[in-house]
Amino acid sequence: MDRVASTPAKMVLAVLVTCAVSATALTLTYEMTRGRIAEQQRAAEERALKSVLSSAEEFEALDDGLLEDAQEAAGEVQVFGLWVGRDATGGPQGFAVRCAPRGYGGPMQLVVGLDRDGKVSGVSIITQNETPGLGTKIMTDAWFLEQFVGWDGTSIDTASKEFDSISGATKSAVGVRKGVIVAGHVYADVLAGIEVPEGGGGQ
Amino acid sequence: MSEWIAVFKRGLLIDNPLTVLMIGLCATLAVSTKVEGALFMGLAVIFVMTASSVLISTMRRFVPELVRIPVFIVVIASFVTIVDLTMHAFLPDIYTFLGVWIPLIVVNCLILGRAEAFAYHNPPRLVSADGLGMGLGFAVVIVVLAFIREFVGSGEIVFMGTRLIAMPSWYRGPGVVMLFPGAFLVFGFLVAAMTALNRRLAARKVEPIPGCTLDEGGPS
Amino acid sequence: MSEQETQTALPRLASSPHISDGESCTRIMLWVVAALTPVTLWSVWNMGMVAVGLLAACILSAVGTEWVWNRVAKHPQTITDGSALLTGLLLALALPPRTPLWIAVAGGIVSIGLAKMLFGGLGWNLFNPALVGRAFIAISWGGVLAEQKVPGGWFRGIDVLAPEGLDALTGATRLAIAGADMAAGGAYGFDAKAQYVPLLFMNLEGSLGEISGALLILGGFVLVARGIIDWRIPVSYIGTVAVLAWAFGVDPVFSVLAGGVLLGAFFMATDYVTSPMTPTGRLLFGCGCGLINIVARLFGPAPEATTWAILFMNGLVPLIDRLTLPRVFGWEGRRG
Repeated sequence: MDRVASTPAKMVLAVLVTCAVSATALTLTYEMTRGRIAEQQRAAEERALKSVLSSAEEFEALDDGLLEDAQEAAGEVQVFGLWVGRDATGGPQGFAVRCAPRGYGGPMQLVVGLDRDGKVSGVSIITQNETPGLGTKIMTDAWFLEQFVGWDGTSIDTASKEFDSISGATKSAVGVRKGVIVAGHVYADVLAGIEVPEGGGGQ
Repeated sequence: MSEWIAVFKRGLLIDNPLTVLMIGLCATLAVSTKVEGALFMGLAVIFVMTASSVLISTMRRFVPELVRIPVFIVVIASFVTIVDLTMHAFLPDIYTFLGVWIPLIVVNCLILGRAEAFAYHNPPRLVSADGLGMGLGFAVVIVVLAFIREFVGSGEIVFMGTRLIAMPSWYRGPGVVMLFPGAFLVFGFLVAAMTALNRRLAARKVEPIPGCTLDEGGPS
Repeated sequence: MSEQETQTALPRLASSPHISDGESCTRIMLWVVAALTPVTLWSVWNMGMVAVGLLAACILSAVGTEWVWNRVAKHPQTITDGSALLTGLLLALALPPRTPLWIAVAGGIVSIGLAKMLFGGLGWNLFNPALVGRAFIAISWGGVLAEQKVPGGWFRGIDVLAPEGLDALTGATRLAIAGADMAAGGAYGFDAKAQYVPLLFMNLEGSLGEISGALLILGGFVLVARGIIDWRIPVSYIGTVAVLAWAFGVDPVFSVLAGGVLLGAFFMATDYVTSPMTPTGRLLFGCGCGLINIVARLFGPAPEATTWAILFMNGLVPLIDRLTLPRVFGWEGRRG
C-alpha cells in the first residue's frame, strides 16, 4: 500500500490538518448545543430549588463572600451555591444551600432548602453516582428525603440524631444526612445572621 | 457483498468485542445496571466506532505511520465529544446516568484497537462493516447484560420512565447483581453462552474472513 | 473423559501432609460435622424450630444442588463424600437464626453451585463455598435481613454503617454496639468482661453458630487432637486477633469470642482445599485472616469481617503456597 512517508513535514501537516478539522467540528457542535445545555442545567437547578423551598417563586444567588463563609462553616463538604428564595412579591421565604457530601459512589450534589427560621423545608438530589437499585433508594424511597423536613438548622446536631437509614444503602443515606447537617451549620453560622433586603430589587 | 457480511458477522459474533476479545469491559460493567443507560451507551459506541473507523480508513493513505496514534485519538475524541455534547443537550437524564463513561469512550480500547488493527489497513467499505459489527456486538452484549442485571437485581425494567416488565412485588432480587461482583458473575455466564454459540457456528463451516490476517500488523 | 477421572480420583485428596493412613475424605468431613454437632444441637435446643428450619434449608439446598449438578453434567455422584453436607451446615451456622428460609436456600445453591461445582467440584474451588454463600447473602439481602429485624450478628454490618444512627436500631449485636461505641468515643460503652460468660455459653445475638463459643472451641480441640485440622491456622488466626485487639486497646478476649472468629478460625479457615499446604504458609494465612479481621472490625464500616477476611486470604493461598514452598535440599537461592 502506498502510504505517505513519515517525514517530519508530512507528520506535522497530518496532525495539524486533523486537529484543525476536529476543532472546527467541535466548535460547531459546541455552539449548537451550548444554549440547550445551559438551559437544561438552569432548569434542573431551578426545579431542584423550587422543590426544596416550594413557597418561593424566585431564587437569587447570594454573593461570593457569603459563599466563602459558608464553606468555612461546612468544613470538608464542598458548598457550591447559596440562594435566597423570594415569593412573588419579593418577600424572602428562606434559603437554599447546594453542597456535595460524599456518598458511596463519590460526591452527591444536593440542594437543601431552609425556611427563614432555619427549619429544613426540603432536600433534593441533583446528581449522584450511587449504586443503582441500592444507593439510589435515597431518591426513589420518598420517605427518606421527607424525614429531613422540619429538622431545625440552628440545632442540627441534635435534630440529626433521629434518623432512619436505608438498609443496604447506609453510606448513601448517611451522605445525604451529612449534607443536611452541613446546610444546618451554614444556616446557623452564616445565613441566620445576614440581613436579607425585602423586595429583591438588588440588581 | 458477502465479504462485507462476513466482516460484519465477525464483529458481531466470532470476534465479539466483549465476550471474545474482552476489550472495553470497564465501561461495560459500570453502566450495565440499567437497560436504558446501556442502550444509549451501545448506540454511542456504534456511532463513534463506525464514524471514526470509516474516517480513519478514508484518510489512511495520508496519515504517516509514525503519527497514526495521535491522529486516531484526535479523530475518536472528536466524535466522542460530539456524542457527549449532543447527549448532554438532548438526553439530560441519560447523560447524567452515564456520567463519565461517555467521555471515557475515547480511551475504550475497543475503538482505538479496531482503528489500529483494521481501519488503518482496509478500505472504507469493509471498515464500515467492521465498525458496525463491532459496535453492534458491543451494544447487544451490554444491553443483554444490563437486562439481566436490572431485571434480576431490581426486579423490574424501567425504560424512559415507564416500567416495561416487573417481577411480582414479593420478589427481592440478589442485590449483588447490581454491584461489580455481580457484573462479573453475569458477564461470565454471558461469555460462556457466547462461547458455546460460537463453537456451534464454527463447527458448521469455516470460511476465510477478508482483512482478517495479521500480516499487515495488528495491535500488540 | 479425563475430567471425570479427575473427579472420581479427587476424594483421595492427598496433598495435606497430616492425613494419616486410613482417613478418607468422607471420614474427615464427618469428623468436622461431628465436631460441629454440639454447637448445632445447643442452638436447636435453645431456638427450636427456627434453627431446625435454617439447618434443613441450608443442608438440603447444598446437597441438592450438588446432586442436581452431577446429574445434569453427567458426572459421578459425589454427594456422599460429606462435603456438601458440611458446607450446608457451616452456612447455616454462619447465618442469623431468623434468616428467611428462601434466602438460606439461595445461599446453599450459590455455595455449592457457584463456589464449588462451577470451579470443578471438591478440590478445585478457590474459595470456601460456605463463606461464598454467606457473602452472597450478605451483599444481596443484607437489606432484607435488616428489615426483618433479624437479630443478626455479622449482618448488622451491612446496614449499620452509621455509628450515630445506631440507637434507633433493635437487635444489634454486642459487636455492632461495640463498633459504634468505638467510633463514637474510642472505647466500649459497656463492660466487655461481663460479656465473656454469655458469649461462651449462651449468646442469642449473633448467627446460629455463635450461640456458644465454648462448644466451638471444644469442637476445634477435638479436630486438632484428632489431627483433622492443623493447629497452626486457628492458633495464628485467634492469636493475631487477640494480640492486635490488645494493641489497639480493646478487650482481646471479647474480640475473640464475639462475632465469627471462633467459627471461622476452627472450621472455615482450616478447609483443606482453600488453605495453604505448607506449615509456614498456614501460619501466614492465619495471621493474615486475623489481621484483616480485626483491622476491618475496628476501622472498617461494618462491625464484623470474618467472612471477608477468610475469603480474601483464600484468594492469596496459591501465592502463599508458592512463597513458602520448602526449598529442595541443595537448592541455592529462590527464584523470584
